[in-house]
Amino acid sequence: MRGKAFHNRIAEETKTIFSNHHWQVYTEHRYRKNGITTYLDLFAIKGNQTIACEIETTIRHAIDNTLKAQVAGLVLWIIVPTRTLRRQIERKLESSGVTENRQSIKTILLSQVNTELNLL
Amino acid sequence: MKNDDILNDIDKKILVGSKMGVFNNPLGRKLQQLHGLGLLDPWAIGQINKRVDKQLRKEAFRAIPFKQPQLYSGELILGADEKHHPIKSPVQYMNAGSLLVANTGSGKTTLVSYYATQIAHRVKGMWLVDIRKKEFRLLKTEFSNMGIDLIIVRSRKFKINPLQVPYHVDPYEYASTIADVLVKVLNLPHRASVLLSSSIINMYKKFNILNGGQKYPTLFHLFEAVRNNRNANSQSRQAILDNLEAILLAFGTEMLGYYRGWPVHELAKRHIVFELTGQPEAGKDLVLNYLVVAEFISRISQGISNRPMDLWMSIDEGQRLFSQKKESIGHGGNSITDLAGLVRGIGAGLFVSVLTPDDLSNKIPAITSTKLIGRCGSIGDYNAAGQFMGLTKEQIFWCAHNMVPGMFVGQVSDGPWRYPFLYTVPKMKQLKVVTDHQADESLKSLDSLDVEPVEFSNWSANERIEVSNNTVHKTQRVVGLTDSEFRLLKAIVDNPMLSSSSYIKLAKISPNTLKKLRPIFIEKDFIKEHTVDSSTRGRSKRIWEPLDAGKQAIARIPQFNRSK
Repeated sequence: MRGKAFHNRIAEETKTIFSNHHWQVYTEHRYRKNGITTYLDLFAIKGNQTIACEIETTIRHAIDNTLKAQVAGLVLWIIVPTRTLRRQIERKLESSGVTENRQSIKTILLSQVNTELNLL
Repeated sequence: MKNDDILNDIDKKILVGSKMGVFNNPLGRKLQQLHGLGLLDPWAIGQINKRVDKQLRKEAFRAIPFKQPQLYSGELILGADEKHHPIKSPVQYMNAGSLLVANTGSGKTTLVSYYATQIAHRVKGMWLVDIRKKEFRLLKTEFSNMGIDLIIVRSRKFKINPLQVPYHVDPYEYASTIADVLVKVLNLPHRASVLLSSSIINMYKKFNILNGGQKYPTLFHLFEAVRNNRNANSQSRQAILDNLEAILLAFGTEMLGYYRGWPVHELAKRHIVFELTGQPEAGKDLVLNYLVVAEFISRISQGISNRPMDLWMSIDEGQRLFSQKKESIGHGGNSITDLAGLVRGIGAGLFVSVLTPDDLSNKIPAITSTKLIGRCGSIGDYNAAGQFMGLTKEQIFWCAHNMVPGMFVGQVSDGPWRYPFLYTVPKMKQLKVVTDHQADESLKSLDSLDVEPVEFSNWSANERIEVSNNTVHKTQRVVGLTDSEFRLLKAIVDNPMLSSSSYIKLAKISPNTLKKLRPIFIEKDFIKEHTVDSSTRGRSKRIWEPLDAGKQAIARIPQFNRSK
């Protein structure tokens, strides 16, 4: 993984959770669509479902990563460690107007990933 | 058969009058004698009636529910009764434990100062211990007017070595005594006593103390001895290191770095104010326990028994020192409580003043014989303190509504009059301020004492490890790690990115130590802390990431690594 230790640890934990739900998970996945190539922290496939995951430990890259996923037409889960960061990212996304298709983008706490997968 | 049946009126008058002390003069005693012999004539009967009736009338019109004290003789003026007549007692009544309960601003310190100035020239030594304030130093001018040199030892000016065997005491006996003192004041597990005791005896052997050597090991040596004893019970060892380290760092070699500190038996011959303000609480306990216990044990070892008081100690604001809670939670409270019951026999008076009887060790009222109550904060305090001296409900109720600063209810330890009585203590005149410089000047009179400092002055509790660290602040060239710091840091480096609580087991340290070290590690850039919310509620989980500085600090300790 190209991120820092904390980022990588969250990615590892997320991957484990997906794997436990029988998802095929790829890290640092190269995804190419509509002539755009993008790298995703995690890319999970199960049957005909796909989920792209971006791990955010700061608010810095939230918009870039969201736009990237939107262009690629992916379902994006932004995995964050804290509620505070989740709230900040959600506000930023709303204020910048990048979340028009709200269904495809979710900001999820690491501890909620398991629950979210159960709900699918 | 009731007394009424056999006693006539004059007998009853004699009995009542004796209780009220109306026959306590030569003529009164003669009247009692005549009554005893049955030789009363009308004049004598008239005298008896007159005396008793007069006193009865006086008592009936007295607004206070306390008897008039029959304390007219003695060198010590306790205070004045409501008619401003002095109430006196012999100084030797103070040759025991005394307890004063009064809340803040009620004149506790004034009362102690008032007694101290009267007792000063009647004893060889006087220790006035200021635990929280710096008020006793004001007595310096008053004492010098009496020709007494009052020495003021400020909180960081002590030169002591708690491992120095007191005069006339067997080193083996002292090793176990001081080990117990350390266990109590440092709040160590009971098992640590054995480790401390054996370590101290080993050091005494090494320093040739058992053969009469006079160069005693210090607490720094003890720390090193325990640190190097890696086979010892790890909990005891760690507890000793953690707690002793705090004291050693706080006091440093300037206070505790002496092969021979001030000999306590010499201090007991001087008038000294010990100011413990500003010291850590455990440090106060250590200094005070050491001084008092060393002197007590020395006197006991000398076989002193039932001798007149030659040392008077006053401990002001002793609330925390004699705390019941501390006694029950900890491992026996403090050693002074254990020995306080012996003070009278060894010629020492111990005067303890506390703010409230709440949380006061049960032993203190039991072992103190003179008891004084000033204005208290609540009816509960009056009830508790009143029970110590057997006040009636009426008296307690009166106290709760009428006590003012400077007014006290007392009960003396000795003599024929042991009823509680009411008295006031005069206000102290404005005393001359004593500066720190003047206080330090007074220490010169202790220069003649035989003191030998240690050779090292830059002792560190840490095994000093050079870490040339670019990521750490430039001025922070040397990074030291204690045993527990090393273990925690190593656990973090070896098992990165775990939640903080996981490292308690991995590093084999206590949660308290972990809590203590967390800000230190963050400040030193050893670790970076990340938070992860584990659920929708509750505290965030802390994830610790080792940083380069921390990894380097561990990498620089290869020998220690191997020994682990």
